[in-house]
Amino acid sequence: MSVTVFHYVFLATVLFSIGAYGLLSSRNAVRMLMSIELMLNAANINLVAFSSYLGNLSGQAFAAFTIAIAAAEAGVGMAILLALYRNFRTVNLREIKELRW
Amino acid sequence: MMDSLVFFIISAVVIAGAVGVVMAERIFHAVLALALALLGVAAVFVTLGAEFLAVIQVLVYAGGVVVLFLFATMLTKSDLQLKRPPRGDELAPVSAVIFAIVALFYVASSGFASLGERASVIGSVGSVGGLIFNPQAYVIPFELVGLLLLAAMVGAIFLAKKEAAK
Repeated sequence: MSVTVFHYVFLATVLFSIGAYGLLSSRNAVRMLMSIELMLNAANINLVAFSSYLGNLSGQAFAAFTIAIAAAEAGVGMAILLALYRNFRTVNLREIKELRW
Repeated sequence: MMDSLVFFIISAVVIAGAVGVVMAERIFHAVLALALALLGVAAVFVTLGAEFLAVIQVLVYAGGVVVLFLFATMLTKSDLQLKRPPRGDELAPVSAVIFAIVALFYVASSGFASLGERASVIGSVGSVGGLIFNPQAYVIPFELVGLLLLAAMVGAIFLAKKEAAK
C-alpha cells in the first residue's frame, strides 16, 4: 500500500479538528493561540500535499507565506495577551468579562 | 511499504503532540507537546519532498513561535483547569466533534485517493526561491508579507510596551 494524497488530507483533517476542539474548549488564552497554530499547520500540510502530488510548486510558495503570516499572528497575539494580563491579572478567558458583548 | 510505515509513525507523532496541546493539564507541558507536533509537521514536509519548507518550519516554529509561547507561559500566571466547567461549555466540544465527523466523511468520500503517485517535484531552496522571486509569480505577495511582518513587529512592540511614566 502506497501513501496517497488522501492520507495526507486525512491527517490534516484530524489535526484541524483537534485544533478546533482546543480553540473552542480551552479557557486559557495561551492554549487558544496554540490551537490556532495547529489549525494553520493542518492547512499547510494540505497545501504542500497537493503541491507535491499535482507537481505544482505554487502550493509550497503559499505555505511559506502562511508560515510567515502565522508568525506575525503569534507575535501580535502574544502582545495582546500580555497587555490583557497587565490589565486583568489573568489569562482565563472566562474571567475577562469586559468587552465581551 | 517503507513509505507508509514512515508516514504512519510520523502521523502518530503529530497527532500525539496535537492531543497533548489540547489535553495537557499544565500549559508548559502543552507548549512542549506543541513543539513535538510542529517538528512532526516538518517531518511530514520532508516526506512530501518539501525540503525548504521543512527547514523553514523548524526555524520559524520550533525556533521562534515555541519560544514565544514559552515566554508567554512564564510571564503570565495561569491556573489549572477549573474542576467544574461552567454551564454551556459542552456546546464547544460537541460542535468540534460534529465538525470532525462531517469533514472526515467528506474527505473519505472525495476522490483524492485516485490522484495516484507523488510527482517528482522537489521543493528545494532554489526552486521555491525561484518561484517566489519570479516577477511573473509571487514577488509582490512576498513584499507585502514583508510589510505585514514589519507592521506586526511594530504593533507587537507597541502593545507589549509598558505605558510610559507620566
